[in-house]
Amino acid sequence: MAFSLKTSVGSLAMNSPIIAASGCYGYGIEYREVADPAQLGAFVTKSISLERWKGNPPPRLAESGTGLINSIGLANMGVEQFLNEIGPQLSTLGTKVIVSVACKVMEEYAQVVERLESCDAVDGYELNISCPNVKEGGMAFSRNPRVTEQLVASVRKVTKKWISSKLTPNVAEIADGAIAAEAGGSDALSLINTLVGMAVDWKSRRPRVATVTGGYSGPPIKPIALAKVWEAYNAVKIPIIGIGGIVSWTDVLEFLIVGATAVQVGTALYADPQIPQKLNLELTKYGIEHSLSSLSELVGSLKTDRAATVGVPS
Amino acid sequence: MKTLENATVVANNPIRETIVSLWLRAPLIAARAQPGQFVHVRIAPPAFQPLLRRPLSIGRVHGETIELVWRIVGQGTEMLAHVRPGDSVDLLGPLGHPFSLDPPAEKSLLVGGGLGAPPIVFLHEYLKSLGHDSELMIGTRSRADLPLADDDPVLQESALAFELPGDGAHTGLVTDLLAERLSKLRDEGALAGTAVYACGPWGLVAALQRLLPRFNLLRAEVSLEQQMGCGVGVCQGCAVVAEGGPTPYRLTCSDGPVFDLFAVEVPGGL
Repeated sequence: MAFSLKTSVGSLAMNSPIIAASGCYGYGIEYREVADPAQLGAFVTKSISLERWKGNPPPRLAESGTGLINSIGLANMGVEQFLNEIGPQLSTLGTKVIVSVACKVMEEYAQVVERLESCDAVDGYELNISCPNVKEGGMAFSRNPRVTEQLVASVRKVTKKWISSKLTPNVAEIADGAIAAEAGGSDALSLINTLVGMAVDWKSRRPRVATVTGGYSGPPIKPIALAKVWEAYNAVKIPIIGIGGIVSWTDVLEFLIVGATAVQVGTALYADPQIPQKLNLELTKYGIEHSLSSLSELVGSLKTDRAATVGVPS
Repeated sequence: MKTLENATVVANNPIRETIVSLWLRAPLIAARAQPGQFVHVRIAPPAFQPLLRRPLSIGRVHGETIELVWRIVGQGTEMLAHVRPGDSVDLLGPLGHPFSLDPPAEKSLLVGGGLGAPPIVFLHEYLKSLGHDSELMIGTRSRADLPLADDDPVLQESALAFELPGDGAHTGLVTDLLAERLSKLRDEGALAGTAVYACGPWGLVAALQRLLPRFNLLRAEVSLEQQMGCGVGVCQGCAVVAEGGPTPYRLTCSDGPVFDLFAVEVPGGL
């Protein structure tokens, strides 16, 4: 059977397992001149809130090691402007559209999703209940499994569309949040959001982002993300979208092997907006060479029998 | 219209101990570049180390080639300094909002502070090519910090100010030269048709905000530098405090890097 990149995350059917992560692909239109959004299985919008949010004071970014600390604070145009200005353009992108939703109080999530239900081009929602850069709400939601379940259930009541819950890794057990989101009616999980991180300018003794700590992303967080995906994979039945430091097709395979059904590429898009099409090409080559019909054959295929586990030099 | 272009290195000139001038053949970007715009440079593809691109102002544009000038300040700028003629460099650009030239000023006073000079030199050459009156002023700490080679013909047309004494040029700040020039233009009744365009560190922006309210100019604009992620308005990482948008913040990459001088708030105040 011929190999195909087609992937389904629950009811969300996509042409590729590669999804652009929230905050890294704007509202879907900014990169159109340099990269074809149709190369993506889906893209997740910048998080949308009920009203416009101005975001955090500058500086908002600090490159640290081979990763990035950000403190954007979910700056966004708010749901009304999104519907008026961006909504009409979404159907022209040629990819599935997932709207990320972020709010300061639990009740607002369902309100924002209800407003978005009028837009047919929206294929699903990702509930951002895990942002480390806002004072109210943010990752506090997904740190509390009871709140996570209630919040997801409140959104489940107002939409039949696909919902994924994006959880914070800044907890002792991500499985608790994963189980809660599943119980609330989430169709999938997006794992992981950024890790709380900090960068310091030793000369001035000042933090390098204005909010002192920020969210750490990029290649250094991949091992942590893999561990969180694996932990959640063993705790829930709903599919998982792996996120964290993906820059290559082998990174994608690693996430699939530990249990992710699809992946999101985030920070790497800033360096290379064309990375989705490169990953598609490499993954197709891999699939053909290994006589696969679909990458789904790899999902959760991690071999953990100790006798055969050997160290791999790098 | 922005593009991803694989540019080819034509010349790599280490013009000062830690300052590099790179000429790249980039026909698409060269054809579209306007003074004040920048390119976002991938450092060492296909690796993601360093992770982010580096934003560099477009210096001069000659035919199909563009000039980028930078000071080596860390790993990324150091790695980029090692490219050789014939090497390929991945550019995203031209990006950002250029200097406003409409309606044209009768006289443009151009102020470059330190590594802010290259885009100002581009603007100077551009205005001259249109037959407009442009005067160039460049200020650095010393001659050794000039982002132009000693034999660069542009230096002959520039008024120079060095903070450290003893090199023939004016000792002090470039804004001293500007204040003197503006006073003379005021005496001549020529201020209403005069524009000031500047690029440099926050100290220069603050000095201009203190100086220019005394003069009634056609316009005053400044190009800013800020930590940048995507370069196209996606990540919202390069915010500065500035008026003119729906929030107190504007993005250096897509709303700027050129802003009205008095719209921006200098961090820490004047």
